Amino acid sequence: MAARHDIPNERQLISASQGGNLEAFNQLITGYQGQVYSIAFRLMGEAEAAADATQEAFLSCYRHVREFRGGSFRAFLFRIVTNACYDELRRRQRKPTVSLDDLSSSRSEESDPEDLSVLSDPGETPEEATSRHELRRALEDCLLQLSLEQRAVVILADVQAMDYTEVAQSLKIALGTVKSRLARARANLRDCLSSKGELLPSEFRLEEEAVP
Amino acid sequence: MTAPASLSQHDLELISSFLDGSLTPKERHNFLSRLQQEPELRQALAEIRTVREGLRSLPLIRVPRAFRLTRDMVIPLRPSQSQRSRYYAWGSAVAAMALALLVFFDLSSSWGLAAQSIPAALPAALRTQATPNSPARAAAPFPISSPPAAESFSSPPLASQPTQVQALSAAVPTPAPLFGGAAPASATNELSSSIPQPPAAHTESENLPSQLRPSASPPWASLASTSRPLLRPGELLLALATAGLAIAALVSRRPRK
Repeated sequence: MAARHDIPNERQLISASQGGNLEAFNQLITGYQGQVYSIAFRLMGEAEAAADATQEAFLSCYRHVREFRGGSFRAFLFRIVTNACYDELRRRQRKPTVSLDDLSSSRSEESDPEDLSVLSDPGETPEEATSRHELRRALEDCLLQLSLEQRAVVILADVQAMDYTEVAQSLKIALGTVKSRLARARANLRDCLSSKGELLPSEFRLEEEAVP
Repeated sequence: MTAPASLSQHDLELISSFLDGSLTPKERHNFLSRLQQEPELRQALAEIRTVREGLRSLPLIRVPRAFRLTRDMVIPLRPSQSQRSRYYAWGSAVAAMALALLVFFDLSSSWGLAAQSIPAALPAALRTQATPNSPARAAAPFPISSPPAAESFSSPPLASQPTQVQALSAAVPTPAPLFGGAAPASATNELSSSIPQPPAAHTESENLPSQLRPSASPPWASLASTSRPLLRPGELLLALATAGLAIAALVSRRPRK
């Protein structure tokens, strides 16, 4: 699960980075690179583009770290990475080289269990692990079918478990916009998962679960 | 399964906010009351809760490589780079302003001298042409009435206009030929050349300063002949400051390894 990983001595590391200490900033990178890359990968749906956006985001963050005036550094950093992904996606829309279907298919090829770094639960049977993996693949595919705005909100709010305020800061949108986009995105994901019902493990077959 | 059709956007937001624990106590109470009465709302809540939990169980994706920054990567992005850009911008602006001041002062000083020479030359030329019984009047190829000089100066009759035009043509600068050829002959110039130059006027004009003589040469010829340095100290200082700022801006713009 993409739980929040608090970085020890984060404030001190940020202060040192603002003073130009590159090693301190690299410690921040080490603590956040998994979350940042996951956001970029799920926003863009392609490993190479996600890696480029992640590297660009960290460079940009180091460049602007002096502008950080407190609050949530995670929101500050995630805003930079989402902006980097938006810029890259808009650039690709102007000069399309890969269609959304291609992105989805390449995404499926990359989404093997090793790439997803499946955290298997101890005591989980192979069948349960397979079912869980199928669910994750279905969710990842459904995420790519959302609009970019809905995708960003649901990735930050649900996958990264950020609260509404942090999401609003990261995406620079109003709190009400976060709520409405998140509600619509979750409803769209529910519809998408329903259409992939045969791929879902039994506990995620919504029709069966909904029957009292 | 199909999505409950009766659910509005407001209901979807209520469900999301309920799951995230962001409803007010009153909203939560009302929502729980509706859940007991509306099976479609209960179904939607269960489905969206499942989606939310599935999303929150998605793992981090393993990074393909480390994204640590190296000195080589960040050197071009050091803060001094932006400072140098600011210096370059300010240096360019100051150099442009200095250049504009230089041009302005140079032009204004030139025009100031020209403006001083023209009004001084005009009365002298007019006095020369308005002298009664002058040979110019006698030798004029057209009949000239003999009004008083003051009258002709204040309200010149039609017959005396060519004479004053001649005087003005001698005082007001006329364009010089660009490539050494003769200037285009206008009617005024032809008229002026057809009138013999009066000796009295010639004597009087010789008494004037050289730059104010109503001669055939244009006033800027006399301006050029004055002993004025190419650049005065102020202009020289501005020119040196402009050149220095431009060089400093170029040097500061070069990337530092």
